[in-house]
Amino acid sequence: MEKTLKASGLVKTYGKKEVLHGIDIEFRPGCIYGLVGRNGAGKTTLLSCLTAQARITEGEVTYGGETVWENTKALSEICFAREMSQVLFSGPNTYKVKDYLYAAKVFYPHWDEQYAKRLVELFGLDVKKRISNLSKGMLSMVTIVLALASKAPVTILDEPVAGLDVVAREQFYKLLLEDYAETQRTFIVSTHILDEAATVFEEVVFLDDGKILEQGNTDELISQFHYISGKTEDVDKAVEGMQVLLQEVAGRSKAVAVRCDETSLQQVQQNHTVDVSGMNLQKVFIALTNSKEG
Amino acid sequence: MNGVLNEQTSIYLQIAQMIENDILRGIYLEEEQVPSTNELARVFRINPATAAKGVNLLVDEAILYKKRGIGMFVSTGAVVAIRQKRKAAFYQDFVKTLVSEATNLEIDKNELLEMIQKAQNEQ
Amino acid sequence: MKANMRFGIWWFVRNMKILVPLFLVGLVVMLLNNSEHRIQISLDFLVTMCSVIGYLFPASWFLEGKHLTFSMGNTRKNFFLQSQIHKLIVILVVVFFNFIANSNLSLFSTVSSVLFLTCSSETIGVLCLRFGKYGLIIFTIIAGIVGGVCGFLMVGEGLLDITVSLVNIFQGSIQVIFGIAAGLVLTAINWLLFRKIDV
Repeated sequence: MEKTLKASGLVKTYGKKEVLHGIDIEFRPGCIYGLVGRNGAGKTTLLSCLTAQARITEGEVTYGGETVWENTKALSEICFAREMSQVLFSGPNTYKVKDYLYAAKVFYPHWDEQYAKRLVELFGLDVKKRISNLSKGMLSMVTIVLALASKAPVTILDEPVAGLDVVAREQFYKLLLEDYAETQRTFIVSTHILDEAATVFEEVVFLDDGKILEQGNTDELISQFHYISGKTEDVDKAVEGMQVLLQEVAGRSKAVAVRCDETSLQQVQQNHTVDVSGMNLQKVFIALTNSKEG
Repeated sequence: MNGVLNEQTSIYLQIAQMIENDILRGIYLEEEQVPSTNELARVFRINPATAAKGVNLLVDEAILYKKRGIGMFVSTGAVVAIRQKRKAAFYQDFVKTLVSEATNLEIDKNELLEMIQKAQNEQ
Repeated sequence: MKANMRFGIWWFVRNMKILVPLFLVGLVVMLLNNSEHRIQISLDFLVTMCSVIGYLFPASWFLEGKHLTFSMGNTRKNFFLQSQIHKLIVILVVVFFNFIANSNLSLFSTVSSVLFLTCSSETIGVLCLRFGKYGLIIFTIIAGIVGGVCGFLMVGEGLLDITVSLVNIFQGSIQVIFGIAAGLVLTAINWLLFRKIDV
């Protein structure tokens, strides 16, 4: 039975400051989502609201049609793996890795102990180590173990690769895809490191300043954007009528980033005085956020 | 293996092209099984849905077919079908670019034809 | 709720494991005392120490348990209910120790005092979760006022006897009722503050 995690008209205010301005979003089951946004865009806030960690100011968040707030049943199917605090109110976090693993075992009905053990070994984690004594990398790894081994139908990872070096990051993407191939569960991964993660996301959500900038199938989104470059006059003529997001001029040459449909693109490609090339997800995101500000 | 993919065309199209290339080169013969979607996803470190999209494209074009419970197989006549498809695109994808670049470099028609002859001899 | 209980008991026991050694050291020190009342003094010490430790548990649950459970799908309702269970355990433990220490304090008095103090501890926990550092400040101010008033009244009645009054501050019957009522009111306020908190 597959359920959808959905937010409608979600507004979140901290004191006088409105951080999320009316978010409408739906995460269909069995898909890997990338939640992309700059630092401070509101990714963690959004995820906190979706998982009933934070109380929403307006709107509603539902899972399978039922509201998530204080809903044990719904929340037992959702895993929110967030960065762990190394400092508690009372001092450093003296709980050990194995304490968190135990808590996960108790709270997640689908917890896979064997898988957790395998991952711990793979990452070379010492379960007897205290959270306050872990390096940033190991901290991220613990979060990843908790998320993957939870086997929760909706698993949310908040910036899981922060603190991981490039080799460990690759390891993570591989593990994520491996798990997904086996379980087909819903993953929502928030990140601001896009370049390498793009191929993993089937759908992507761009969050900027508390609003959704774009959402949809990654492939389809990327295919709408292209770089067009060449002599300035030729480029200007070629992109007439198109949505131009960025432009860079060097001497008499110009390069622009445009958003256009297939037919317009073909027309440009027939014209051989300009060069046309594709953009990757990271560049699309930068172009969109830049053009919004400019 | 992810480095094999480029940013110029959609990934699923690249997957489809790679499978077609392998079929043309005889790496997968007609009626032989091709890698599963999950295998492709794993090797190229991409989302299985993307890999599936590429494979399904070839199924729609009857280059691959599905054997329920087993996997994807190369159709009989796939080699011919792929060649025909690519021949139709050859003019657009290669010839026009070749001619355009030759013009840029002021290579005249005779010089160009000589070069093509030379390349064919070397094959 | 079952998950919460399982986890809550584990947490409780885990914290006790840390405190028991300290506890035993103190006890040994007391027993080494050469006075002829040393058994009684030691028993009184036992009661006082476990009460003091017990009073810290509710606050600790809020400040530590939060990190271990909410992101794993715990609800505020279950978490709060678990705190009530902790308070109950503390009450039972203190009553038990009072019994073996052969204290001549009434059962109601013990229950009332422990209830009042554990509920205050819960209040500290909730206020700190909700208001951070300012929570501690708020609590200190309120406790200062209330404590000052209570202390003033108790001095008037000559009830300030060190070891025992740390454990049982409510001895007269009106005070007992006050203690229990205050405990219940505090719990209600705590819930109202806690139910809508962001974790």
